[in-house]
Amino acid sequence: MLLWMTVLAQGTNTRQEPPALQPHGAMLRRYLFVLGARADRVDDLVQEVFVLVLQKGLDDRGHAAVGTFLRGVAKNLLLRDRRSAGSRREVELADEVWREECGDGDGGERVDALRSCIESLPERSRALLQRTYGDGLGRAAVAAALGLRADGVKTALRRLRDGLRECVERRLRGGA
Amino acid sequence: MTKHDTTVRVAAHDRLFAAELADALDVPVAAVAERSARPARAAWLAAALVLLGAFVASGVAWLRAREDATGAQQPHTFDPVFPWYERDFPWHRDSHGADYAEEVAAIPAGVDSLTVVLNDMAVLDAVARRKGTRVLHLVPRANRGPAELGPDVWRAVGAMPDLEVLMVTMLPRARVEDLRELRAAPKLRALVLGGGSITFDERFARAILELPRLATLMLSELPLTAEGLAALAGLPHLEALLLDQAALDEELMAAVATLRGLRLVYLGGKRSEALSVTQMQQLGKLPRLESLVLFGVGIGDPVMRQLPATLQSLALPSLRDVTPEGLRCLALLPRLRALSFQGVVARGLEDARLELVRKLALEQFDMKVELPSPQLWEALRRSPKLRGMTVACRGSAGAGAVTAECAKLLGLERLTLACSVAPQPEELAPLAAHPRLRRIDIKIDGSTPGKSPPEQLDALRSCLGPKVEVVFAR
Repeated sequence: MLLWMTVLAQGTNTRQEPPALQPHGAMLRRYLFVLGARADRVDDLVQEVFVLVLQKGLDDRGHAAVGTFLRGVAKNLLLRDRRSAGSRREVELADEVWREECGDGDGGERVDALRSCIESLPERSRALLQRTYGDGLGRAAVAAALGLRADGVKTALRRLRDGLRECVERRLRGGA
Repeated sequence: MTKHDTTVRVAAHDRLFAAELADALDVPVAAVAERSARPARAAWLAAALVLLGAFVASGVAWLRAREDATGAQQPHTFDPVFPWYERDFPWHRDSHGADYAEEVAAIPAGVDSLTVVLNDMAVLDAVARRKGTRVLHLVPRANRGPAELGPDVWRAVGAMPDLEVLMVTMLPRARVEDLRELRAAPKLRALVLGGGSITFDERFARAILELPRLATLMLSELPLTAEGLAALAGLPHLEALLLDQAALDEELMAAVATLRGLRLVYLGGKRSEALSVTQMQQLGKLPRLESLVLFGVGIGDPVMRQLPATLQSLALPSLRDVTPEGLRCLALLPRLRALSFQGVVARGLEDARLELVRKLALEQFDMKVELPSPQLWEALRRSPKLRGMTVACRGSAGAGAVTAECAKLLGLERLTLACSVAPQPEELAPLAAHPRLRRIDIKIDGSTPGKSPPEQLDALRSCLGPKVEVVFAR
């Protein structure tokens, strides 16, 4: 039975991701954001991709192939809204960056590597991340919570992010 | 690449990290994105750092000092239909030609792939000054201009900031020491050297080692040594090795087997010399080998039985010494997803090939010389995962008949047509309504990419519409 028949039976007129495509939701959000979609539009765009795909039908050819297909649909969706050649080129350049960093896959190994790097951080560094991004505290509140100056929080975050990026790249290169 | 392009790419890298951080922290991407803009550096930064205290520095130091004990990870997933290594093959793309400096000046700004005949240094200087050249094919003229590729040439090429792929064919008597000038090219990741008289020995390899980003190396018609190949182990990112027109002995293969990062190996032999079981067993030692291309080598049943179990993609040479039993061995390769027949298959092997197509869940299937039989077309239509195909359209079977059959392969995303002449737009018309097709590569026998008239390509692209990319490749 094709995937789309199963999913249609479960209904596709909700904001929830169809179960069969749900494993690809996180990847698509990342991908669309990389290509330049606004952060507040990403979820809507993912829904549009799923609806389009389900309308056309999707054969399950394995996780990787489905992911590649979904990214193709997502990119065309973004390109459709870009009027100028310049803005279209920006989407293509961003797609190139995705392919350079994630290859033909969904980039999941990069996120896994990042999680490991975060788990390796000292507690105060993890707290900085959690309070800033997880709790949504403003800079002043984070500084007060951690005993920092407000202007120091910005720099601390930047250095932390740079360190995490280096950690991810090292883990991905591995010990070959 | 323009400065704006670079800015766009940097921003894309930043957004990728922000999105990954959001996933890792399990928060919406908007929560990270708002705060991901790079701050401008300020003179007070040094003072702020002093006031930070030690905990951030220790956090970063912790990450830098910590040894990763989890071992190597595969940085990329392999897609046999759009393989990662293709981006580094200059013959897979259109290329704009230039013989003289004034021709270089006339090349449109967006063109990033050039084929340059090195008549004199002026043309190379013009190419080196031109921004955004990512792929360069340099063809020296032995009887005019620089008789040898001296250091000035390599220095000029090394100064190209955007250069990612360099192909130098008809390599004359270049000095190995001069090749080191290429180390200045910050993005050079693929090097194709061919047709020269320099022996690829350890000294030659050491010059290549100064290109730390090199991921793809092709050596064509160059005398090879085992010491030279073994020295390539010093390239930390080398993943693709292509040895063309090489005299492949067991010592060379043992050296190749030490390059444990290799994911693609291309072996193009001379005079169809037979590969031995020992040589194939050496390739089995490569833990990451995904793709193996065998061309111009002999292969028999014992060697077929030794094909590495890691293979996901296999291109076979002429199979005149292979029996049906030998061919059926391929069904035992647990990860095989792509299979390519580069020569004519003997009558006795056709049934074995048909069995393989029915049994294997192939995603990519190639028949580069002959047409599939009706039974094979039927089997391909029933292949649940088939997404890519290469098929010949020569002789009495024009492109139109082939594309009509390919139109029935509903999962097809990529089609490569091996033709004797370029197809007419109406011959591609059956594919215009294909639901998934997004790329067609047209390979015309004996042609050079970029030499076909652009209006010919435009006509083919117009026929298929914007969703399908059409490329003349080699």
